Amino acid sequence: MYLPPLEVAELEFAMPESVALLYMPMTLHHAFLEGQRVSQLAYRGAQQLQRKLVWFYSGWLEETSTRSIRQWIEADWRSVAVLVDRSMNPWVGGYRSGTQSGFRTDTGRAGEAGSTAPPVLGKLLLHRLLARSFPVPSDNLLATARSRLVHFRPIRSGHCVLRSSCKNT
Amino acid sequence: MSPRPERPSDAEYYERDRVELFSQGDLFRDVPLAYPLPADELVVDEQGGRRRFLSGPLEFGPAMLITPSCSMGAQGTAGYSHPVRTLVPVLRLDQLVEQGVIKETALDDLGASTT
Repeated sequence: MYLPPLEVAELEFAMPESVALLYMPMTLHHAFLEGQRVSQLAYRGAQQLQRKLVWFYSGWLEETSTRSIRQWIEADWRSVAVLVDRSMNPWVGGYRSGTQSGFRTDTGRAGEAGSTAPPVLGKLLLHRLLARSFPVPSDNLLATARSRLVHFRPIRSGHCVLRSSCKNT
Repeated sequence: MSPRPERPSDAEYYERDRVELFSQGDLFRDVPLAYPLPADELVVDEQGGRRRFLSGPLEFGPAMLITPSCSMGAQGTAGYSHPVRTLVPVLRLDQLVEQGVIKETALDDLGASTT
């Protein structure tokens, strides 16, 4: 999402033209953000953000439709199902505080109770999706994108932007 | 057919101190972006034995909160309902151009229309 320059008197709060990478979400504890807020989106800006989130997640789902996945990976439907269910489908799941917050990485085996790690085939698929769909600015960010998408949780964002109760943003 | 939505003008994007609580679209600085590069520290969960927790090194930079406001707010009381926040990194446009991610000739398209 394109962000125009933020011009304010305090130079430490000013921000040049920037781009928010919606495809690289990361999860943090609230305490990391206390006292760090620079600015807020105004009504029209927030409206634009919600528009872009809907555009992004709906496009993502379309891109990873079952038909496309079948073409790529025909051997392991269980893996694909886990991948889609846990990583890309914004209509299921929710916060799991034990595995989602902070800097944790769950290395449990896919399919086991309590595990959030998708199968190897799922990771490969995610890599291919990234390579196909999104520009990656550097190796560093590519590593992040790969890893973060393993724990990707578009669930709340994709879900709530469509709810009328979100109009107050 | 409804007209294609236009991107708001630059002046309509930002606002300071609109609401006290964090809300979707808030911009933060010096956020630990938690890029999962090789870990400085590896902690093995003693109870379960299978789960591992990795940490650092981290990069810090600006980020935008995308957790929906309605998800963060407590129901029926003041404050927040949970401490989990989802953010996306915000990168400078000139930095992306410098790295060749965005072509200089495409800059006009990026800032125009509904982008």
